[in-house]
Amino acid sequence: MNLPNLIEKPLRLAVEHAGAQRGLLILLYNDGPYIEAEAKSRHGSVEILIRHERAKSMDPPQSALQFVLRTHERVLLDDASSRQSQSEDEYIRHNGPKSVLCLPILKQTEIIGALYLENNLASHAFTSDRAAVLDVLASQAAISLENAALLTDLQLQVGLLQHLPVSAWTLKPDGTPDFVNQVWLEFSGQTLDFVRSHPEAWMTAVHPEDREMAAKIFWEGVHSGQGFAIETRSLRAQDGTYRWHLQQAVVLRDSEGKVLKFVGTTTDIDDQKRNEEALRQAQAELAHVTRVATMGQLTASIAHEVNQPLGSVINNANACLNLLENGAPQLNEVRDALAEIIQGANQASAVISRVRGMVRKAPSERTGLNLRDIVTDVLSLARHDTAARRVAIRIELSDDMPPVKGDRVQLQQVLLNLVVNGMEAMNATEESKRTLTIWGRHETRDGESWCLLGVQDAGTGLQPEEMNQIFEAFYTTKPQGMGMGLAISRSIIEAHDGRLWAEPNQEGPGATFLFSLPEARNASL
Amino acid sequence: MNEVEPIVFLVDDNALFRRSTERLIRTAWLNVQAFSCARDFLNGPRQAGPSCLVLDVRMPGLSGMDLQREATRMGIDIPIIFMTGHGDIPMSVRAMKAGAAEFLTKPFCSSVLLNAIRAAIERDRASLQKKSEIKELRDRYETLTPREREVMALVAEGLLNKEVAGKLSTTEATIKFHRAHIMQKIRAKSIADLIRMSEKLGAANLL
Repeated sequence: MNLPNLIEKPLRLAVEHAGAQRGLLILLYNDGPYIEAEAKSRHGSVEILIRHERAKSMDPPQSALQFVLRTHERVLLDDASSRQSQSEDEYIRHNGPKSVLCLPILKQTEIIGALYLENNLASHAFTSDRAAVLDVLASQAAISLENAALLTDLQLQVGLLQHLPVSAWTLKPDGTPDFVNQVWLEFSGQTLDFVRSHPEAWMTAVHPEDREMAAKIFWEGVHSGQGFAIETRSLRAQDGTYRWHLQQAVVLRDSEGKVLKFVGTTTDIDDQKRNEEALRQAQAELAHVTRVATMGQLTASIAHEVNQPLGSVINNANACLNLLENGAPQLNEVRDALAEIIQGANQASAVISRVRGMVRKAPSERTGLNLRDIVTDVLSLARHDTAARRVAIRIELSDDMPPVKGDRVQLQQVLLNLVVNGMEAMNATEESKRTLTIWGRHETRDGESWCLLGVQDAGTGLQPEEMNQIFEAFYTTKPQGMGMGLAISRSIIEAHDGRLWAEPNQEGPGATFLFSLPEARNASL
Repeated sequence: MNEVEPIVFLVDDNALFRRSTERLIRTAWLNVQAFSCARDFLNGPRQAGPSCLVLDVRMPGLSGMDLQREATRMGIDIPIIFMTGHGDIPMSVRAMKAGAAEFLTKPFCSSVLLNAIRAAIERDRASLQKKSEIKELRDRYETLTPREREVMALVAEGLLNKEVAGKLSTTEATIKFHRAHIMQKIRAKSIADLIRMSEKLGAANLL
């Protein structure tokens, strides 16, 4: 069934029934009447022409049409050409139809068009009896036309649903799919019957590693009536590749709150995922580069931290040789020396593994940890540098610092960056005033629990306009600086759902860099 | 000469490294006294015998370089062997210019340190010896009368008795008399000996 059929049928019926030579179906649009179709009777058969064109002043007779449209009443002219009143009509003057019938097509009380019939051969061709039948036909046509419009709309909507760039579906309250559009079926190669056979049937297309997680979230969402959002890798039937998809469902409830349906979509987010992954990798790469660069600034300190215990190992070992060569060795002395050799070797290896941890390209790993340990880690690497720069380090960590969740190496990187910056900011500061304070405490903000860590220097300080500029990439005040340290640090802290900012010191010169991280819940430390 | 035992002073803030170095030196039959900071060393007692100072460059508080400066200011003149965990060239150049005996980068070969210590102590011993010789010579020189010193200076220049007498407007016999006294008082065995002594005193700016 389509619109042309629905127009054609009543028009043909009307022309045949009325014995008309010509018939027009006219529909009223916002910008005026349109001739939708024209019927012509020739040698006993009726030809239909679908036109959909604006009604011209000539065709059909304007006087009759306007009357019908205005009054919603039919016009029946038994002998049109003879009537004085109608002969003013241009069409009738030119074409001289003998009998004319024009009927309104009404939808309830609203006029939606008109049916025009004429007979050029006979006057009185259309009787009132026939006209009454034609009235019924016209109202039938109105309903048909109305349905046709609805159907077109529906077809459009269904077509849209079927061919949306996302897969759309509905689930019964128990989680069994009922409607699933074409997009998913085409993607997965599954049939509608198969998908409807079991709530988890669609998951056969999900990557085996994602299935357990998907089923868990799916059933939680269905049973709780909350709906769900699941990201899975799903198999594309066409080429056997897995692509990332996001399955989202919202719940529809009746007035009593009972679940009627879940309505959902499945969106291919593979490109987005890949972009995110590429971005994440680029960020990790950049973080690694700046981390290595920061470590590079500490080479003197690190070398010292390794060489010190190594030197003690060599000294002690040679002392042992001396003791053994001296005849009757003092065994206590030998034992002490050996114990210190072990101590020194362990110290050196601990520094090496800490440095390796910092420069290694490790995938990000979130664990529960204490910022107190991060402070210890960083200072063990930077300690010698602080001595060389004649900077006194003051530690003020309160006991109520809550545990946080994060990547140890990345958080070390942030703190190391802040410590190195703080020391460099004090290059021009009088030696006795070069103090770097690292303080930490618990803080409650916006009803949430945070761990706050501050690195306070007594350096040159910051101009107000610099407070934000310094966090921009490639902004640097140092001749050798890359200008990436703080930008990376901020993105690391933000990736940990935290905040990193700078403040001028309340008392005295210099600035404080602070970051806060949310307290970790159920953190296993 | 009955010499006081040589001693090695060691200053390093790192306890592990300090203890190991102390042990190394001690087991090589050398006396050693260790300090954890420069200030302790400066405030500690000196001794008369030959010694040397083994010193870490980077230390909290007074650094090795600070100590070197401070020691020079205080007139403590002993050879210094510097140690550093990360030897950078500018720093070692500065240290050597300021009179460092050696600049070692940790970790170093034990024999290198011990050899450096022995060499430094030998040098200090020689320098002490020279100082004590000069001191003795000076003590003897100071027993000369002003007139005898004048005569000694001219004789050391190689002038004959007659010429010295002429310069000082006196007789040759008087000069001969002074010369005999000078040779005896300053314990010179010959004129050549006297000239050498005069040179030593001149080098030490004591004339």
